[in-house]
Amino acid sequence: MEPFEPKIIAFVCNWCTYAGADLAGTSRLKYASNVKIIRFPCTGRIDFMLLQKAFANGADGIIVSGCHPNDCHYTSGNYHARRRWTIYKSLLDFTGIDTSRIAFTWVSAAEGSKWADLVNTTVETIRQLGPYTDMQELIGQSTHEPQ
Amino acid sequence: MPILVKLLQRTSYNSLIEKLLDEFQVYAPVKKGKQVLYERIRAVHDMETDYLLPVLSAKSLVFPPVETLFTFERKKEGVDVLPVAVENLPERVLLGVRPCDARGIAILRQTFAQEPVDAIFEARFNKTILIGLSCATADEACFCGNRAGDTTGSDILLTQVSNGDYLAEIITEKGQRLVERHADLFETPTELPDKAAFVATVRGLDNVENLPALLKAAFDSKVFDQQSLACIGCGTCTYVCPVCSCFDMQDETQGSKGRRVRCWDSCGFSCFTVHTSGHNPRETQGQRWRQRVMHKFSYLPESNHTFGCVGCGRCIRSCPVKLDISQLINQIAHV
Amino acid sequence: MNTLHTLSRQQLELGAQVIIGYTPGSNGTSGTSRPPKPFFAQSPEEVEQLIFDDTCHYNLAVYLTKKEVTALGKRVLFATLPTLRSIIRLAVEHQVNEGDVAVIVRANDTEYALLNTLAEMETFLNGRTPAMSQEDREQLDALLAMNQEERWAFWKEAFETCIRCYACRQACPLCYCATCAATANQPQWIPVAQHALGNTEWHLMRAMHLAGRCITCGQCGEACPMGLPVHLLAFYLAETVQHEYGAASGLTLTETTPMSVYKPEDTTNFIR
Repeated sequence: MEPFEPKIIAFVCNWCTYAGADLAGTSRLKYASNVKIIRFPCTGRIDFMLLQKAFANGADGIIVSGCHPNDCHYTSGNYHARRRWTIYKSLLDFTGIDTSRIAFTWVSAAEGSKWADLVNTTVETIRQLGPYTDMQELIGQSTHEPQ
Repeated sequence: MPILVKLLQRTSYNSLIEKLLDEFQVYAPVKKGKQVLYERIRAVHDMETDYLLPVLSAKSLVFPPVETLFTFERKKEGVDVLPVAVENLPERVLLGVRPCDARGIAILRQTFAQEPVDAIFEARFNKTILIGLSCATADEACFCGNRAGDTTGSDILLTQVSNGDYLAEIITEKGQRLVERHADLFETPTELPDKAAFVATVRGLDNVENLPALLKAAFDSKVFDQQSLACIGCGTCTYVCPVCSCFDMQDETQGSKGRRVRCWDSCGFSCFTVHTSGHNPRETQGQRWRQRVMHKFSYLPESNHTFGCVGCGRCIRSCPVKLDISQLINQIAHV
Repeated sequence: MNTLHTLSRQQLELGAQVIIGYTPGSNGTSGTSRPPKPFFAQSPEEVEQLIFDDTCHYNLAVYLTKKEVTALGKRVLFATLPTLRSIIRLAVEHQVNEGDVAVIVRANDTEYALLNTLAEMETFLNGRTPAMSQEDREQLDALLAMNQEERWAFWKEAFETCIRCYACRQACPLCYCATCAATANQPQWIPVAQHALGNTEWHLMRAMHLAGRCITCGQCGEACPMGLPVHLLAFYLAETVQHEYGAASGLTLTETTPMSVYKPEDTTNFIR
């Protein structure tokens, strides 16, 4: 039985976090390889449904990351994102979906080591929590679908 | 096949259910929160006895809200398609089915049995035994037209009599085979209670014989627009109806694997008839309401010699804006 | 009922094309009454069938964005307090314009008043905002007291039971999109099929699309044929938005849309 390797999807903005991840690479920082990065122009573009899609398609954990407040490349995209994440996280908490599997962060283009630490921490957190089965269990197990 | 009538004592019914639980997947009305639904039971006491009608009909057993038609996987050599193995579908018994729901399944079967025969529906139907239960009472939404003890669609129809025992009418060969396997539980007394005394009288629609022709004549009437002003265009009446059969097909994939599902759809939705061009032949709620009425009370009688409505009254009970479909049909019949 | 019928008839005479109010539910043979239902009166005879009392609470504002109704012309609506809030919110979102609709409200237990302008409706609402019902408050508090697993078990059961009839969406005055995100297929945001996963995604999406907009009438929960308390999702977010951003929806014509604006000083406690 192979040890559980978490599958993490990261939704990041191009100008800060993606550049920060790039910096981690060029600095030859070693960090866990469990993360698949999806690049957006801005965190303001991230639709909360995409996070749900990640879980529905088998992600065990999610990272959402962008520019620090006041530093958004498009001035205010991350401010909109901030409100959206606040409300979405509270909705997930209310429905009992495990938000400890989602890491919301600000990582700037200069914070290569913050990115590496973030990924390592998140992978370990998810490794402890185990595979995320709540969404997978909904597939094909519905009362409306005969067995 | 002539209908045989036997007596099933109340305690024998419980014993029968226990035996059936060993052999089949058993479904029955079950209390869930404030509602009653036909659900799978694992023990006799799971079954609810105090109910008029579950909120969803029994059609879910033969035509479920979601079902896989086939699965597929894309491989290097091509795409593998694996249809559902109908021979592996489970054998089921549904208990406590109201006559309107059983009749609904019989009408549904007419639709799905048309050539080309729907193999999955046929398999589910053939593997389902319906043990019906006559209605001793009705409420103000019922309009089955005195069919509270109708045998159509049931394999065995039970009618509870004054001491709690049941008259058991054995209607089909499927029902006969089940009774033969448990013959010790069914008695043939010399005198049987009169069924009619234990079955409710229930109103029906007005002017039923002339309805198909009247509706055809009213096709261009403004009455459909008027009546549907209050309709909010959800799918509730369609989904709770024992006879409605519209469905959508969707492919759901994950990576290179997937499945094609069939799922319930409703002609009440505004996008039901939208074309890819954007044109919508039924773009007003009045046109969609007319379609519902015509399909159930004019087209289906013409093609299948049956109404597409069993008068269960669910549409009236569940409609969010309390549209009374029986009242509306009666209005059109008098227009 | 004279004032109600008189007011309604007057409005028809003054040029309104339809009075959207309530009428008693149909009786059937057993004589027991069903709840009052929406009724469209377009003639003085039909006006006689209108009622408006304590038992009438269906949110009629949903008809203000129904094209078959707006096509009739000037409309007069019987408005409960939640209905008024819906109208204010619809006006803020440019779905209702000045002059499209007038309302008849219950000024008190016996009197009715006609409100012609949006400003009058806003004034009437002042100080009259209804609180959540006792039952809803208790159910919401019970959910908040549960732990994460218990809450998921509760909502999972609800999402499994949902049949995706969209009665919740259709009954909501603020769900008026010509093409709902659930109906779009390029991209297809959520599965069409009504299995538990699709239903979960539907309810999460709808709650989010209502965040900061829902006026907590609870019509969605009432409309649900499966008895699911789906209104609690939107209620919870309405409370959260109020708590985080100090905004309640549908009270003033100049209010903003909290999820479309921001303040640089917004705070969070979970972003690292």
